[in-house]
Amino acid sequence: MSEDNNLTLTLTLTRSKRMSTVIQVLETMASDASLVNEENINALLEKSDINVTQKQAFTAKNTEKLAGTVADLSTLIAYAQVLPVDDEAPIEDEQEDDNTVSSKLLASSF
Amino acid sequence: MSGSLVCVGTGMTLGAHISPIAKSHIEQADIVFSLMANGFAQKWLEDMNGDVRSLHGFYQEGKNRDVTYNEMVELVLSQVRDGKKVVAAFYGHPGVFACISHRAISKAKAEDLPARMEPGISAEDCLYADLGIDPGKTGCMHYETSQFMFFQRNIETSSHLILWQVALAGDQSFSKFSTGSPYRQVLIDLLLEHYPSDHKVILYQAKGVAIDTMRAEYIPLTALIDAELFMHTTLVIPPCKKMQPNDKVLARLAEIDKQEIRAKNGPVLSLVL
Repeated sequence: MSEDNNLTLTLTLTRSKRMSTVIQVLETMASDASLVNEENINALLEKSDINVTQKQAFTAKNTEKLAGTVADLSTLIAYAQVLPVDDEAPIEDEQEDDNTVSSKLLASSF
Repeated sequence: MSGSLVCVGTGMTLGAHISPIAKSHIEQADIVFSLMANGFAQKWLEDMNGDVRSLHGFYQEGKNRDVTYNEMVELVLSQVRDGKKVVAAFYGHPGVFACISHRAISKAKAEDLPARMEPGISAEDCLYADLGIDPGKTGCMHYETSQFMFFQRNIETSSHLILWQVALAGDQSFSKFSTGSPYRQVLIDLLLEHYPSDHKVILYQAKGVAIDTMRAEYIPLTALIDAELFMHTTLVIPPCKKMQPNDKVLARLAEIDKQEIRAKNGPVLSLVL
């Protein structure tokens, strides 16, 4: 690993003191183009202030295991915020008054 | 001091996809409301701003999502009305398959409150990159899965068909977190009207964090019935036939071409007095 890369990693890792280190490593891995090979990733993990379990989780690419090591990590589900029928969306065709199906669906869903 | 609303997208993969301006809005906001896809992204956001409030608590199984979304919009707007500089941060793109941003911005503008959107890298963007699909090659249709089922659609099988929220296929209550095999069978039967049963479809999931593995699982259409589906799984159906030429339109265009050539190469007329 070059000195330039070392410097970049060190700067990135010290930029935000508030950030929890696991999140910081995830952010660095996702935004530093030099971290595409195993050697550089291992160097990053060695420099980072993370524990052995976290290093193992990173190396094994085990997101669940990693999540278990971070305190107060919310369990969130990825929803697309969209409805099959959205009566708040503008309707620009001629059938605006005849949109009985969407009205019926919305009404039946309450 | 008047409040304002900016809806921003944080992209799909933590740290890789957020734009500089979206990040700056988050860092400078008085309050950030959030809908992130995973706990890591939520924490990442909380490290960028000291007042991040997740909207996830509004979701409840059995509760109509239309109500949920309106409650989220009202909470966000209440802080804008109070004069706060508010950011609503959504994973992916805040305006793609994301009605909350559109509703909030529309209502804010109706109340003369400044509101706008900053894009983010969406699941659709990642899909094109990860699966090597160029929507310009044969065309691409996108539908929310249940909407695709509820309404009459002209399915063009020479282009890609992409169905979002396939795990919720056929949910008319808008309140389920998943639907079962009978609902999926209705979707499969609908698709079988247009595609062969052994047609290979793709189950796709973008990476949420750097160490995630992108999912691109190729299965026959009929195997969808037993497939493992999550809220963020997208069904990609590649074309099953070649594009058919539109002879009528092509003939009309050829006639125009001929007229243009005749006009260009025709004799120069001069006025003789």
